[in-house]
Amino acid sequence: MKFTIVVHSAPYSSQAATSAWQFCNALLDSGHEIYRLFFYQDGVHNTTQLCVPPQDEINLPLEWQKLIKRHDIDAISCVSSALKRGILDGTEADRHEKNCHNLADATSLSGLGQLIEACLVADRVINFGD
Amino acid sequence: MSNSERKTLTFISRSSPHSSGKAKACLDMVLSAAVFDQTVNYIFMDDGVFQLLDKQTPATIHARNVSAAFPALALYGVEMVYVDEEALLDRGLHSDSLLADVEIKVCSAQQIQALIRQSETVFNL
Amino acid sequence: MNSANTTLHTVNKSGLQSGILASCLRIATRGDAILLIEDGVYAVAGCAVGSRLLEEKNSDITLFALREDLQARGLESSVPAQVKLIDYAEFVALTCSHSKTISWF
Repeated sequence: MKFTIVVHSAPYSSQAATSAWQFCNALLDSGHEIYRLFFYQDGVHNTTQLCVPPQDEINLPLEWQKLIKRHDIDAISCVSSALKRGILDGTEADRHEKNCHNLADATSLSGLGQLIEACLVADRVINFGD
Repeated sequence: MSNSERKTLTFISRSSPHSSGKAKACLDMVLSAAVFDQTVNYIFMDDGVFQLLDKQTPATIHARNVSAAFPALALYGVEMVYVDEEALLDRGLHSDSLLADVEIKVCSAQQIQALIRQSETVFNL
Repeated sequence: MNSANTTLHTVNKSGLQSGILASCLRIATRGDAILLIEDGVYAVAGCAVGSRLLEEKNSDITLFALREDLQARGLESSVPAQVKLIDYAEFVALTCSHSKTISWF
């Protein structure tokens, strides 16, 4: 089946983002497909490339990137959620005259239309939040 | 769009308007779904019913007024919103004290269950 | 399993600090399933409030709890027999066998 997965929460603040990641691994292991992975609200914090957790803790943003690249998943961080939380790609950094950007490279910024479109195409939509 | 089939998307808004971003996040999804010309059910349950209170002035706490967008929902094809009768009762609210310029239908649990049954996808936040 | 318009509800709070379990039970209908995840698993492991809420409806609704979350909390042996323990792979299977999933958080 084709899944759309929506992550509403930040890593480390609650378990929800980790649960979403475990669920994604399980569904791919079961032979299903992720049509789109959508990070919404605080979920956009999963898509920073500047996360440096202690060595004995999971680096969840890094694990997401590994999963996204390994399975060539269409991963989107909601652009309005991301910008106001300081998650920017190079284009947005230039546009807003910021001197750095931090969006993980296997993820792109886009609007909620991408979430709605993904709901129309996918067989199942599963949300994780807190 | 790769799928032209019209679907029913239900959004259950269960969060109070200003202590988190969930009310606004839910509204934004509702508007996006409506722009995509989908059938949208917008349901208020639990503390979400506080979003429909009249006379909110969230500028005092530097917050956005989520409710200000509700009268415009009809322009997006969302003609009415559904409100859980038990949520009102539990909070001592009556539909008279809610926003006057939004079409509100007060619903029983059975009516909400029926809306969910008709839906392909349900968001709940 | 019957997929004819049934809903899987996931609940990630115990029912003590949040009303979501009660709200979920108000909306769940006959034939639906509830999967307790994260702190939701406390509802079936000694939480009187959660257990009482669930008992009121348990004849109509199948109740599952996520094994990984129970193990993490030291509760795997505290779960009553009517609750089915499942792992993440079975969680995925449940989302497929129900026509939609509603996440309560």
